[in-house]
Amino acid sequence: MEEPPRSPDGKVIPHDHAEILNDHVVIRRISKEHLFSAQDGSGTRISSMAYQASSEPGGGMSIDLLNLIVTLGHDSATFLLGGAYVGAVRFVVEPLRAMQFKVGYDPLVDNECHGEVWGKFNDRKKRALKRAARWEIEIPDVSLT
Amino acid sequence: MTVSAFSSHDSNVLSLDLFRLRAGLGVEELSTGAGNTLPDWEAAAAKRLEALIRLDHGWDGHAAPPVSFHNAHFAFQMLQSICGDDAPAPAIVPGFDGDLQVEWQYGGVQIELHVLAANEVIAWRGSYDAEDEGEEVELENDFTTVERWVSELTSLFEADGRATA
Amino acid sequence: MPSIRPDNLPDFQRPPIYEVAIGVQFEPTPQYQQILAHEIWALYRADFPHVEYQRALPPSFETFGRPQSTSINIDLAGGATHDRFWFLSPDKQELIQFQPDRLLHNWRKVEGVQSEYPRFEKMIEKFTTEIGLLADYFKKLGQQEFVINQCEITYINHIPLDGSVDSTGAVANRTFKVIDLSALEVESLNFQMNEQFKNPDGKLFGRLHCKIQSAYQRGASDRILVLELTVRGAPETGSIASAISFLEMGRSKVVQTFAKITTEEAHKIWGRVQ
Repeated sequence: MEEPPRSPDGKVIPHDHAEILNDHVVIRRISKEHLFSAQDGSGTRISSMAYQASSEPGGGMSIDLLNLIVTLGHDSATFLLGGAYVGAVRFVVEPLRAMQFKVGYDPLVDNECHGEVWGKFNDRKKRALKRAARWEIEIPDVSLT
Repeated sequence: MTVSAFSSHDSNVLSLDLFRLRAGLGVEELSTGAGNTLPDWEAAAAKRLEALIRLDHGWDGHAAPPVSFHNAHFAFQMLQSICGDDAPAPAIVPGFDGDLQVEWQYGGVQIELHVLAANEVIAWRGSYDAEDEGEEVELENDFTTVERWVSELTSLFEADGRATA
Repeated sequence: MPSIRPDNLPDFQRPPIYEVAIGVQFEPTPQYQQILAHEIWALYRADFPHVEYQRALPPSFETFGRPQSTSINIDLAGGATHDRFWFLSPDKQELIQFQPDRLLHNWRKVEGVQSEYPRFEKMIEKFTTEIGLLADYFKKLGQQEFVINQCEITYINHIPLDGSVDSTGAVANRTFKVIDLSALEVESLNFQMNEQFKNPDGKLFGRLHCKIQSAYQRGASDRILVLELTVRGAPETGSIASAISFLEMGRSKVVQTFAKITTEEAHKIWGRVQ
């Protein structure tokens, strides 16, 4: 994949990567801290707080690029789960761009499949992302909404 | 403890206040001084907030800090302004910037209170099952609207027989 | 700009003031750590050369919704805590209280030290400078913005009893309009009330807390009634100017309430001049 645009200090600049097509799928890992039990006894849910940008300056919402995971021959469950992560959801790129987000490539030293969703994250959008999410690696007995 | 400069060990005034806050106890042991324990939701919320302020840096697998001490305290006092004794215990989840969200899901209706900072809350009531966007309000420290939402939810909770005696 | 006493504010020549505390609470700066506390003391040390250590106060916020009761405030245990430092004046009558999210300035009566309450206008002028020094220090540490999220002003008054058996009820009746204990033989008293207030746009933003309770002076058999009036709330913005404005409003509210809830008989004793 083509290297992303970077600032003079080497940081990736928010961008829409040309090789991330609208029909591609991106993955968002889910932390156990974002699971909660509904008070009506209907089971465990994922909180909308799972769908926010990081606190780093210029940071976006961390994702993994499914195309790269597949191309590089990784097993999804092994690659995506472990440590803080107990499950993963997927988004098609086009609806993200329709929400005025940029979807780009941001390789890390320990994760060459890493990308970011950049843009203005507000509470309306985090709820919209919660509605749009679909299971990639389902957490048993947990509902998406 | 107060802001009075006579609140130290060398205080020269002893209060006959019957409602004493005993320092250093776990939340299970606190009482109003009249032999009453905390409402269930208060004990649960305090326990959860303590866990969230003790999260490791990078709990999210990246660089997220724990929930901030101020946000946790503000959230607790917010809940005291919102919840009656029989309110169902809220779920509380961390954000990635020291923020947190208080939420209830009951009978298809969801209430989310996103505490971004003290005096800065986005409150939403709606449904993820429905098409409409629900109702969102930006609040500072007046939670009268949310108190009404939670009161309605508590009525459903009690009607379903879920409230503890 | 120096604070000016409002013209219509009740005034007393000999108010029973025992202590006054004015303070702000702010978002702590992540770059500050307790090891740097000596640099904070250095900001004030010339006038406050003594230091003492206290347990930190938990964060406190006025929120509105259900009526406030005497419910317990939880002090969440967050691991290692910072001390609350007291930086004291040479005669120990004035002190600055500092912890990573609070700054307060207290004046209190100290036994053996003859001096009168310095009046709010002098205190607020000093406190404005003190907050400014702290904000500048945090800015040098790298803090993006000094944001004040709560202000409070407290007046504590001591009203002596006369030592007789029924003194508590009798003195309370002579002093306070809000209580009538004439039908009772009162052993001790604990009275609390809160009042919310709104800004001109109708937005709730602060609360006055009034407490009247029996107490006694340690080391003496003198029983007293303590009247504590606190105004606490969120300033309009997080700026220092907004906080000072809140404290000035709070002071007016305290003094007006003090005059309203106490009797004319008590006002004569305290030398009301306005």
